[in-house]
Amino acid sequence: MPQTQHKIDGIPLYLLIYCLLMALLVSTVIAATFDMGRWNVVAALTIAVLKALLVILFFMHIRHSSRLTWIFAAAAFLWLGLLLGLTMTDYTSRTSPAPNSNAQISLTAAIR
Amino acid sequence: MSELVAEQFDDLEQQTEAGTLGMWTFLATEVLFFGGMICGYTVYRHLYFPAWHNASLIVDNFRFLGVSSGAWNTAVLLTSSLTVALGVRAVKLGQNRLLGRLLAATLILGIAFLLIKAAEYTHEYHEGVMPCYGVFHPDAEISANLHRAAIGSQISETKLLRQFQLFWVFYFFMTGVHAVHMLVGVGLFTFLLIETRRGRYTPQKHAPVEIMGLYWHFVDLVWIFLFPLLYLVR
Repeated sequence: MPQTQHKIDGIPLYLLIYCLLMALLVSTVIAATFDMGRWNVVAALTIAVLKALLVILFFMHIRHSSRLTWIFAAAAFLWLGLLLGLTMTDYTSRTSPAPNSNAQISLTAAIR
Repeated sequence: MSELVAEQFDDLEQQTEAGTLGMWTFLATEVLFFGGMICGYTVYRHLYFPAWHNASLIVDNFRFLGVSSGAWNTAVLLTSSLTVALGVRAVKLGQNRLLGRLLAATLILGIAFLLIKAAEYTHEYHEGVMPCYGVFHPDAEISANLHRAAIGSQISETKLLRQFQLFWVFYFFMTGVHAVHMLVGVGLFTFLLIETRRGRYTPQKHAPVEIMGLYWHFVDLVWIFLFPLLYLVR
């Protein structure tokens, strides 16, 4: 008979992860009240990634999952990275800005 | 024991493993589904920053006790993820009464999330920012801010208003599609609760709870990113 009850985490671990998640939520809300320029985006998204990692590793039990499941989960985020990365590489490096964009407006102003 | 294992599997462990892997495959497609919208939103923010900035200033106008409803909703969803995780633990240990209670708690939290979201939508409808034909009429205060922003950024007011409207298209699509996922989750968990009451789940047959739990955590995960992207960043 196969072992099916292996690797069950204790309640204290779940509560600890929950407290960490709530602490991160409070810190992200507080961080948003300070004007840090572009660092606001960096702070908010860094905290979001930390929260996501806690949920994926502990609540979704990825840390107890097989290597194959790891690859499937990682592939999702790899492709998301490609989607965002390549799209933004394009938009941030175009010589001909999209219509009505700020870049085009300042360009038109400069030509005049 | 044998009736628990479908004939294509060697044993129960392999069957559970295949189920989990299948769910992760589905979730990978979901990551890219939401990813497409997030990507579009990022491009929008890059191209039309002044309009985006003006919209982001009012998106969390709806507050309880001085904290944005988005933050309350994040807390509600994180708590529901805890009850789901504890539920999966309970079913593996054969604690079915506890599982029933945790599933009921998850359902209540899921419905609370949807109610808060509905209250927010109502508020945004009255602010006139719902980007539908005939409904989109930003109220006097928002219009005055946009007028000031148009002067400041040297964009014509009509263009800025159109770009501002586009923010709300992204907002309602991203949160709306997420809310539909929440509705599906509430449906799945109602099913789990009924089946639990009938005593269908045992430590051997816990895969349905675990797999639907993965779905619930994923919907939470999407919100973890939507919240800073739509509510927090200015």
